[in-house]
Amino acid sequence: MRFWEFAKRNFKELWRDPVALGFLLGMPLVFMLIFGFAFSEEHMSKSHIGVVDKDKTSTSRAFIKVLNEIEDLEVSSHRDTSKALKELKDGELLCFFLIPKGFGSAVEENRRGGKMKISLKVTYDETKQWLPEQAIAIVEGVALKFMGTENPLNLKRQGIKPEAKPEFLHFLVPGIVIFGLMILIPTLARTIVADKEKGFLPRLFTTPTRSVDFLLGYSLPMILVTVILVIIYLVVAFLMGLKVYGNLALAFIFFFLIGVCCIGFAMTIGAFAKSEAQAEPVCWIFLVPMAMLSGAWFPIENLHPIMMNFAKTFPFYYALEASRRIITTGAEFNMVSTEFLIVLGWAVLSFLMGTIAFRRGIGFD
Amino acid sequence: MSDDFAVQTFELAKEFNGLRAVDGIDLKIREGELFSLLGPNGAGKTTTINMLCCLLKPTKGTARVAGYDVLNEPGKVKGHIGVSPQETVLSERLNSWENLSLFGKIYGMSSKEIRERSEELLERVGLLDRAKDQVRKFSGGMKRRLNLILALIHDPQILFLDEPTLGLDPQSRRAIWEYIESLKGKKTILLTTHYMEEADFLSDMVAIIDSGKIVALGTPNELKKKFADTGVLRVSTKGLRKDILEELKAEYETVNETAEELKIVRDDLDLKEVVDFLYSRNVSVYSAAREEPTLEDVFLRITGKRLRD
Ligand SMILES: Nc1ncnc2c1ncn2[C@@H]1O[C@H](COP(=O)(O)OP(=O)(O)OP(=O)(O)O)[C@@H](O)[C@H]1O
Ligand SMILES: [Mg+2]
Repeated sequence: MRFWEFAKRNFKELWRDPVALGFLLGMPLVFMLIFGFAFSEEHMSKSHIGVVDKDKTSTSRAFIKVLNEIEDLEVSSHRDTSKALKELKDGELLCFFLIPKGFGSAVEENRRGGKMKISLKVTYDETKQWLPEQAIAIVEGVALKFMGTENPLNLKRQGIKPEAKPEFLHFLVPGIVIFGLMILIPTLARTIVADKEKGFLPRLFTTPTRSVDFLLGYSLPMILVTVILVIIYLVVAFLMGLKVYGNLALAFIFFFLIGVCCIGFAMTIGAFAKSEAQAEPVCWIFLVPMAMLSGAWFPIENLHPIMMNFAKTFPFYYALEASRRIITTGAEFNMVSTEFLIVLGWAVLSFLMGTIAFRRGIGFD
Repeated sequence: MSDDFAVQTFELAKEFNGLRAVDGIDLKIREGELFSLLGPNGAGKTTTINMLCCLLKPTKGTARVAGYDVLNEPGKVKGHIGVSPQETVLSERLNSWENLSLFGKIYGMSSKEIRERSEELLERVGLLDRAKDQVRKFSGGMKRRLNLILALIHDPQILFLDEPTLGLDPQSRRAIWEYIESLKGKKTILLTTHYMEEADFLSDMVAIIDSGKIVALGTPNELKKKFADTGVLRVSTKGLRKDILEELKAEYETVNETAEELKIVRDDLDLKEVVDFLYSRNVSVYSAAREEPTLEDVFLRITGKRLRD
């Protein structure tokens, strides 16, 4: 069980290195938070709400006109509730208000000193969390002012869960997980090269350690780290409002296989790089275009065909496509089986590549 | 017959891009012998050791270690040796116990064996108190001591110690010497060092290597005797002027000046001749005595005084 001892050593070396660990964990989390909030900001600045006017009086039309003048709101009128509900379910709206029959007369009555109860029913998208709340609060304030009364407004709330999810999180989370796993490449390659450069590997070569011990010794801790990382990223994503429609375990398998691919790539680079100073840039030269072209940050469908083909050579694109479909549309295994085979093939291939490179690039002489 | 020797090399040679680091050496080290390989920087000592422990492939020739050929049976060789490299190599974020345990486990020792042996070794080199600290927090000398005992954890038959006392304070160096001495006869040890008194004190056999070639071989006494015609004269003087010193230097091969003391080295050295020479130039001589040459004198005489790369 030499490999096990060596694996323990490598895990401890990483675990006790706050800089490496922080980089591995922190960078994707920071991305997730920044992008998550950046996208939310955009939604907030233009809260899109709907209004269904059943009253159709000059008073109700005046109320809608006042709402329209609020800068933070984008108000669209709908003829009936089903149309508004459809838009809400499609994710177009944060919420919509139903202005009931008798709204106008009640408002007029109250303006003359009456004490009529006025109902406004609001249906909102629960999954957008505080965004509809904000819009509702604005409308509530406008309504109170418009009616010029103390508090006759009776706001009836109803939350729904629409089909389409908040776009940015779906799009972002699989990308960030895969990007986060890509950071395994420089982390592991650096470790291997440092061990080589500082004489640790040569020292082990004077002992009866075999190449399979080195292989497993380096890859096992990283596989464990892969699992830990994916769990952490997903937990944070859930806290930020991610909802998974498909089988999470299936998505997890895709992430896991990408982790294995990255470990294979890292061993290949680590075996051949001569020094840490050389390994680092080589990793990033590989990593940055891969991350860009994987579709993690923007859709790559409109790229130049050459770039597209390049992107579609590597496993990252497929893992991303598959995990996005699983998370957002609940795709079953048979719907992502092609992607699965490609990513699995790459995982096996890259690991094999790493193995061969390791035997060649390190060792005797 | 080669099995009589724990280590034997056969015209062992290593070339690095045309540079002959080791140039066809034949060494024979008996079982239980402490063999010192001495030589100036870049002489090829480390390269030789690296070939013996299967780290470097010889360009020419081969070697047998513990009865196995380094080219054909490196796995067998590795099971019988312990190597303390010249560069300190440790797992920096592990503590001493963990470092020792990693190596112990590699050699298939049980946890209990490892713990007992580690404690003994850590005690020996005075690291027991700090054994739980991560190694990166150690001083250079502490790392150096751990570096050495990592090679000893599995109690190997054959030890390659490449400058084991490099950078140690005098106390630690003594402790290591004593420990190495206690292993004498039980283990076969190939040692390199730049401390001549260390080699003199410890070695059964000494080989001096220069530019990849063995240039002298024998016990420390044999070597000193062989070069005993090299007279060494220690002279204590007063009134030695620079021009007289220059004159002396022209006449004798080696003149070392330490304050008022002169050390004069030359083959067939005549005490009277030197003293007369100094008197004739009005230099008072307080004392003058012939000295036995030390290993260092032998070393300098054989390898010259030119600085190496
Ligand atoms: N990996 C290498 N590549 C190229 N040249 C090397 C390599 N290793 C050693 N050399 C060269 O081989 C020669 C012998 O080096 P070696 O390390 O064996 O010397 P040494 O006797 O151990 O010296 P020192 O006392 O300084 O440790 C030197 O000229 C050195 O530059
Ligand atoms: Mg050396």
